[in-house]
This record gives sequence, C-alpha cells and structure tokens, in this order.
Amino acid sequence: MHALETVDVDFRYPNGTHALQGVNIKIKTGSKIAILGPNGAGKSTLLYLFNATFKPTSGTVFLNGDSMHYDSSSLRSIRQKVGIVFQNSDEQLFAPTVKQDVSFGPLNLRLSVEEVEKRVSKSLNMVGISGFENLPPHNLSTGEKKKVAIAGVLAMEPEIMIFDEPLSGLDPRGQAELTELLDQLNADEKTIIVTTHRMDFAAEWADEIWILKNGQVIKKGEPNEIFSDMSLIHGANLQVPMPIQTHNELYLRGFANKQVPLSVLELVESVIEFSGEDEYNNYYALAKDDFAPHDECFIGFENGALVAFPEDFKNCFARFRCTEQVREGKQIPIDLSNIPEGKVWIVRTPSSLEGGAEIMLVTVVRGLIDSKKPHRIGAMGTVAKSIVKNTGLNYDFGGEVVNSAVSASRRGLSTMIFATGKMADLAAKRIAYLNQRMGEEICFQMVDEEL
Amino acid sequence: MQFLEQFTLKNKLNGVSGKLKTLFAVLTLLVCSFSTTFIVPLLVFCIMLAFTVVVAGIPPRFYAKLMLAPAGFGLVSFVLMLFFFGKEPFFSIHAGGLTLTATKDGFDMALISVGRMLGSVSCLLFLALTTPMADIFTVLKKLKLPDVFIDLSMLIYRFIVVMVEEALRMEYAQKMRLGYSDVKGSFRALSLLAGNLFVRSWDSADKMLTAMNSRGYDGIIHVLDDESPIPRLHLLGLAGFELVLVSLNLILPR
Ligand SMILES: Nc1ncnc2c1ncn2[C@@H]1O[C@H](COP(=O)(O)OP(=O)(O)OP(=O)(O)O)[C@@H](O)[C@H]1O
Ligand SMILES: [Mg+2]
Repeated sequence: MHALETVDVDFRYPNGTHALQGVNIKIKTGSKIAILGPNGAGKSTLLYLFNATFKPTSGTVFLNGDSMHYDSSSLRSIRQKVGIVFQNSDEQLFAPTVKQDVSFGPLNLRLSVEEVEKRVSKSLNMVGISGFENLPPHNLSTGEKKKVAIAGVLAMEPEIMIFDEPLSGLDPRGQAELTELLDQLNADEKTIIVTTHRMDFAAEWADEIWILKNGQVIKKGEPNEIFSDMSLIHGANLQVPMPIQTHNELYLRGFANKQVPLSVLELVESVIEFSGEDEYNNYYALAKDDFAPHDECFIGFENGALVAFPEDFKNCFARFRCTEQVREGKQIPIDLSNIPEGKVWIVRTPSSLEGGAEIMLVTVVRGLIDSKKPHRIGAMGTVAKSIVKNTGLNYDFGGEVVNSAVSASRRGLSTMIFATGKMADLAAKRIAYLNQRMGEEICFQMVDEEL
Repeated sequence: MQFLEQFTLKNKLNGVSGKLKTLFAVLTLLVCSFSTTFIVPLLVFCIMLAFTVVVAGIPPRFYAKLMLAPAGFGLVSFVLMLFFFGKEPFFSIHAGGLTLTATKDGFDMALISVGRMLGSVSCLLFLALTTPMADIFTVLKKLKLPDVFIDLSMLIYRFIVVMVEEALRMEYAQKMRLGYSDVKGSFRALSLLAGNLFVRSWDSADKMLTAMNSRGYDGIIHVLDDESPIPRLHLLGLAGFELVLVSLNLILPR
C-alpha cells in the first residue's frame, strides 16, 4: 500500500520556474523517507504537492491510492491526513500566542474545545516545550519556534507527517530529541517524510532515500545502496556521511571489510571484525584494588590514565574478567577477548500518563533497576524519560539509545532501556537489525509484563 | 514597540485576567473622557499611574518617557486655551509692549480638556503596558466584533513584528557594509530598504497564507481563547469603582 504516490507530476511556479518535471515517487505506508538533493532541486515544492497546498500543473498525486481532488471538502480531508512542517517556522506561526497557534489546526478540524485543549498540551509536551504557552511566538528563539511549528502540526494528528528540514536551527540536543520524536511518531504507525541536508542523519534514520535534482528524481534506494554510489552522491551536490567516508578510507588502505557502515557503531564493528580481537591484548590499566582471576574489572579513564576498579564508576567504558592475580598499584592486562555478556533489557512504559499512574510506575521502575542492576540506563520517548527522572536516577543514554546500548553491550556493560509505548518494539527491531548487519548476537530481552 | 510588548509579558499584573484589565482600562477611559469636572480625570490619572508603576512594576523612568510627549502637548494646549479662548477676563500678563489676557472660562476649559487628555492617555498606557495583545483580541471577540476585523488586527499585529524585524535586519546588513557612511549613501540605502521591505512583506504574507492553508485555514482564524471567567469579586470591584467615578461627576460642581 502506498501512502503517497505521484505520477508524471509537473509543477511550474507562476513566474515560469519549472520546479518539478515528470516526478514519479511512491512512498510506502508506515515508512521513514528522506528526500535529498541540492538547493533549488524542488524538494520543498514536492512537499507542497503532497498535502495539496499546490496543485500539480500536470500529472496526478495519489493519497492512499486515491487521486487527489482540490475542492474544499477534499482539501480538508487531505490536510487532516497529511501535515507539513515548513522549512521556515516564521512563515508558519501567526497567532498572538504559542497556545493559540498550536490550536489553529485542530480547531479547523472542527474538534471540540476540550479535545483541542488536550491535543495542544500533549503536542507541546511531545516537542518538549512548556512554559511558553502564553508568549507570542516572535518572542522565541529559532529552535523554539521550530518546535512550536512542529507542535502545531502534531496537534492535527495526521497519518502522514512531512518535515521540511526539521533539524536546521536546532542545537545538537534538540536534533537528537527531534530524531527520537520522528521515531516515536513512526512507531505509532505514521508515515514520515523529511527533507534534509544532514547526510549522517539520513543514512542512519531513513528506510528509503529519494534523490532529487533539477526537479527530477535521479535515484531512490536504501541508505547503504545510495551512499555507496560515490559518483551519484557528488553529482547531486551531496556528501557521504562521516562513518562511510572513514570506512572508505580504511577500506582502501586495507583496514576494514567491504560492508558499508551507516553509523559509527557499524564502522567500529567493521574494523574490529577485520583486524581481529587479539590486537587489543597489549593494553594495561592501573589496578586500583587487588584483583584475583575471574574477578570483574571495570576500566575507564581517570585524569588521563587508564585505571581499573572492581566496581562501576563514572567514566567507566568497559567491563571484563581478570585472568590473573594483580595487586593494587600494579598494571593489569586488559583482556578484551574475555568480556562477559552485556545484556540489554527493553522495558515498555505506557505511552501516556493518566492521573496517579506515574507514582506507581516509578516504584516498579525503581524495583526493576534494583533487581536487574543494569550498568547503564537508557530512556526513549517523553513518558519514559519523565518516569526515569522521577525515580531520582539519571539516564545515561537519552539520544541514539539503541546504538549506545548495543555499543555498551559490546564492551561488557548491560543496559536497561525504558521505551515509551511502541518505541519498545522499535528498539527490539533495531537491535535485531544491528545484530544481523554486524553478524553478532547481542542478547536482549523484553520485560513487558511488569509495567 | 518591541519594548512595550516586553512589559506586557512580564509585569506584576500578569496573573490578573486580561479581560478584567481591558475592561478596567476601557471603562475608565470612557468615564474619564466624558467627565464634566477636572477632578475625575486627575483622580483617574493618579490611580492609573499607581496601578502601572507601583502595582504592575513598570519602571517609572520608562513611563515618564512615554508620558513626555502627551504631557508636552497638554502644556501647549493649556496655554493656548488659557489665553485665546473665552471672554471673562481672569488676569493679564504685561510683557514688553504686549498684553496677554487670560480668561476665566478659558482656564476652566483648559483644565478639563487637558485633564481628560492626560487621564485617557494614562488609561491607554496602562492597557498597553500590562495587557498582552492576545487578551485584547479575546475581549474584542467577546464583544462580538466582526471576525474580519479581529482576524485582520491579529495579522497586522503579527506583521508589524515581522516588518520591524525584517527592517532591522536589512538595516544592520546595510550598515555592516557601510551603507550609511555619507548623506548620498544614506539616501540610497534607505530607499533600497523601503522598497525591499515592501516586497519582502508581500512575499512573507504570501508564504504565511500557504502555511495557513496547509493547516486547513477556511477564511476564519479559529484559535483557542482564554475562557477563564473574571472573578466575581473583581467584577464587583470594577463596577463599584466606575460608579464612584460617575457619581463624583454628578456631585462635583462643574
Ligand atoms: N514561490 C516561488 N516562486 C517562484 N519560484 C520558486 C518559488 N519557490 C521556489 N521557486 C523555485 O523553484 C525551484 C525549487 O525550489 P524549492 O524551494 O522546491 O527547492 P528546495 O529543493 O526545497 O531547495 P532548498 O534545499 O534550498 O530548500 C527553485 O529553482 C526555486 O528558485
Ligand atoms: Mg526547501
């Protein structure tokens, strides 16, 4: 089933610019799509066609298999199903206050005032903005405006959500949070389409990439397919993501295997797999205690020196088992081939918090953490983050949670991931996917029933 | 313009219902401008001053600056009316070979009109400094003004900000490249700025409409309004206050 499809679509602006020329695109329902291309390629224009803001000069756009009509009642139902967050949020925000701006869309859907109130606070919460409700939007920073613009579309609860350069203008943390929000929306079975100039994001996030140039589609494919085609990438003014660049350089010099890595994690795996693990055997750390064979040993940096403690500590990055007797103050050989299993637990939290449920959940979460004793804690999605924070503990991984957990696991550290609603399945799927790509088995377990 | 707005968002009367503040300012303004004695406007002036500066915590310096223009205008009008209106002689000034005669009825008229003017200005300043635009729009809507009027004011409000920001940005960009270094250059830069401002505002209006359409705009702007009612007690207090002002007008001699 295709959520959106264009057939031979042409679009000309009134001034004669031929922005789209014979575009044929198919977007699968429930997928994550990135549209890439140089400035002026026609990406934004294409997005406008997707929710009938513009009408194609010729050709047809299909929504869920039906061709789009442009009379006012069809337009309303199209815009209910397809929401766009514009590139420049200043164009989108117009109301005197943030709250009023976010309420504009849902009120146009003729929802009741109570429902609108609920959606407004829910969407502001999802984008991580609160306390600004009664301020005029022009009083906010660029990134905050962007979040308000996103909330304005979220509140309409469309089944297809389109973001024109969602990451531009956000700080790194905001970008990580937005990426997570996109995943969360996708977990709720929404189709997500973004345009971006951030190649590393596209490579890691997208299921499928379409490349546009001069108003035409020049290529579509999965990220690894797209990014292994150097001439295509450079021909479209794009850039290969950093992990792939690094990998390419290593590969050409004979230090990595052939498979194209889409993230830093995969890059590292590729190098390790190639060079073999015994390379690591000549590392030493300063023993901060007496160690006997089979003792657990936590290593990390302290004041620039590699040290080994018998307990987990702040800068610890790996855990292994000692093979020999070492006295305090002596050097302990780090044997990375002797890394114990680092488990990953995925705990599903509810996707919304009703009334007093949170207090109960907090005790359950606390209990889980105390019984399984994970070395690291990850949190995905707003609800999970807020529950973990309320236990008084801090999560170690708040962005790129699954990658971080898998990486920690490869270094012998176990992680408990709290994931909001369907994001739990997403996390499980992602680990399975990484396992398959890396040819490794990270043991993970869903602890569903407890919450 | 931006400054005024900053105060509406951050003053000690933020917690008070915007509707109440608007009603308070507008009703008092009406009573003040129909006053038949100068005492009521004077009273209004003092009360509004106290509310704005003491209760809401607007810096007195800033307030004084805003008051400067109307006060100057008031002074000039006062002098003019005193000497050039009315018939009944009051007192005379001999300066050089000239004799200026002030009139009694001119004095009364000057007192009332200038008083009304200052009183009304203080009401407006109270409104402008303590009440966010959003609240004023809500009141306008409650008063059942036509949608077109309210939507238009909302968009104008938004576009004033857009235009000011745009103009400042362009001016800055010009200055950075030495646009205003001499008189001739200044004229050229200014004309470019003005022309461009028009084009850009037009363009951003067009884009905003596109964005509004994509969220289902149907010709009327629907937004959530602050539905919280004005507390009974406050309403009663307001009614009492206005009644006192009105009755003062009736009791006091003209
Ligand atoms: N309102 C407009 N009127 C006329 N031409 C336009 C308009 N908007 C865009 N164009 C033209 O249409 C073409 C495609 O523009 P579009 O905004 O879709 O590009 P884009 O791929 O989104 O670029 P970017 O990466 O810079 O956002 C460009 O050549 C542009 O100059
Ligand atoms: Mg664009």
